[in-house]
Amino acid sequence: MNYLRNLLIILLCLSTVVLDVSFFSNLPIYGTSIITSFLLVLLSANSGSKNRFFLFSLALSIFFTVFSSLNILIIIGNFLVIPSCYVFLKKKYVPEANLFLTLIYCFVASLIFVASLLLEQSNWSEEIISMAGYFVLIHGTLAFILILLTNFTLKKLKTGEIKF
Amino acid sequence: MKRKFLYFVLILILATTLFPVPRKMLAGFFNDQFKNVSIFLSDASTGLKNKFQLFAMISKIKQDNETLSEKLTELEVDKSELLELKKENELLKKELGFIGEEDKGMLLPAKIIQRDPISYLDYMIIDKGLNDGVKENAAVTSSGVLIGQVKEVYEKTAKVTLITSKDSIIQAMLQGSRSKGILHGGISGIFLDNIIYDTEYQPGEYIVTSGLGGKHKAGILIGKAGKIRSTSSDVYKSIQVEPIIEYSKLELVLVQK
Repeated sequence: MNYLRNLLIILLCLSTVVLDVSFFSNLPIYGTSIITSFLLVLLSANSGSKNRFFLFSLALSIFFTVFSSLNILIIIGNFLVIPSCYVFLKKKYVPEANLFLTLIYCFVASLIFVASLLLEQSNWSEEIISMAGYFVLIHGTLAFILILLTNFTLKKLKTGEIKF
Repeated sequence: MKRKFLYFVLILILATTLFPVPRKMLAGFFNDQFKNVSIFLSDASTGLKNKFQLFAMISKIKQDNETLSEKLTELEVDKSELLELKKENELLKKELGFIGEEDKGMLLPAKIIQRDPISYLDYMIIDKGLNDGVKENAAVTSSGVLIGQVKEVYEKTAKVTLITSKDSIIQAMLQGSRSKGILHGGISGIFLDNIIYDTEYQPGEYIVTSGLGGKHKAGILIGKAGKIRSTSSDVYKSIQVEPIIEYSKLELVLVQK
C-alpha cells in the first residue's frame, strides 16, 4: 500500500511537470505561465505530513530539473530548501493550522521564486517587474485557494460527509 | 527503512542532475518518452488558447490581422532577401566570386511540443531529433526569420534556444552598413552588441546573420534595428533589436539540416 502511494505521488509529480511544459507554458497570463509543480510544492508543504512533503518535493525537483532549463540551484532552493524550512519552522513554532500563516507563506514563497529568477538576469524593465508581480499574485492566490479546497475536501472525507 | 532508501535514491538522482551530462541524458530520455503526450497536450492547449481568443476578439478582425501579419512578414523577408541579394551582387562584382546558395531543400519542418515553464527562459522542445537528421547548432527559422538554434539533440526530439534567451549568442550584422556584431537575448530584449562605434545605421534597418563562425549561413533575417543602448563612453555600440515575429505564438518551425 505504501509502495503504491509513493508510486502514485511520483507519477503525480511527473504528470504536473509534463503538464507545465506542454500545456500551461502555451497559455501565458500577463506574460507568465502557471507552474502547477510549484503549486504542488506549496500544497504539500501545508499537508501536515513531513514524509509526504519530502517525497513530493524531491520528485518535483528531479522532474523539474529534467524538463526545465532553469538553474538547478534555483530549483533545489525553491522546491526543496525553502519549503523544508517552512515545514520545519511551522512544526516547531505554529503546529496548529493557521490560515494567515499559510497565506503569507504562499505569497512569500512565490515572491522568493520569482526574485531568484530575476536575480539571474540583468537589465530589468518595467514590463519584467509587472510580470513578476503577476507571477506572485497568480501563484500566491492559486496556491492559497488550492490549500483551502484540499483541506476542506479532506475534512469532509474524514467526517464521512463525502463518500465514494 | 524502506522510505529512507527511497529518499536516498531520489537524492542521488537529484545530485546526478547537478552535472550537465546526466541531466542531458535524463532530459533526452524523458523528452523522447513523453513526445506523444507532449504533442497531445500542446495541441490541447493551442486549441484552448484559440477558443479563448475567439471569445476575446471579433473573429474577422483576428483573421484579417493574422493574414496581414503573415503577409507583412513575407514582405519583410522578401525585402530583406532582395537587399541581401543586392549586397551579395555588389560584393561579387567588387571582390571574389562568392555566390550564396539557397538551401530550401535542407529545411525540416518541426512542431513545438514543449516550452520551458519559466516563460522568459525561452527554450523549447521540437518533435524532430537525431533520427530525423537534426544537428546541434542548426538554425531554426519561421517564415524565413531566424528564431533560434538547436542546443541539444535527443533521439526523437531536440531542444531549441530562442534568440530571445539570455543563453543565445549569434553572429549577426546590420544589413545596410554590414557592421558585424554579436546578437544576444535577455530578459529586457534582444541586443546587437560589439558594433563599432562610428557605424551609422538607420532605425528599422534589417539585422541578418553574418555567417561568421560557420554555424549558420549568412543573410538569414533576424529583426530590425531599434534604439542605441550604449552610453557615449562605450567603444562599441549596442543596438536594440526589434523582433519581426511573435515568438510566443510559434507552433511550427523549420530546422536547417
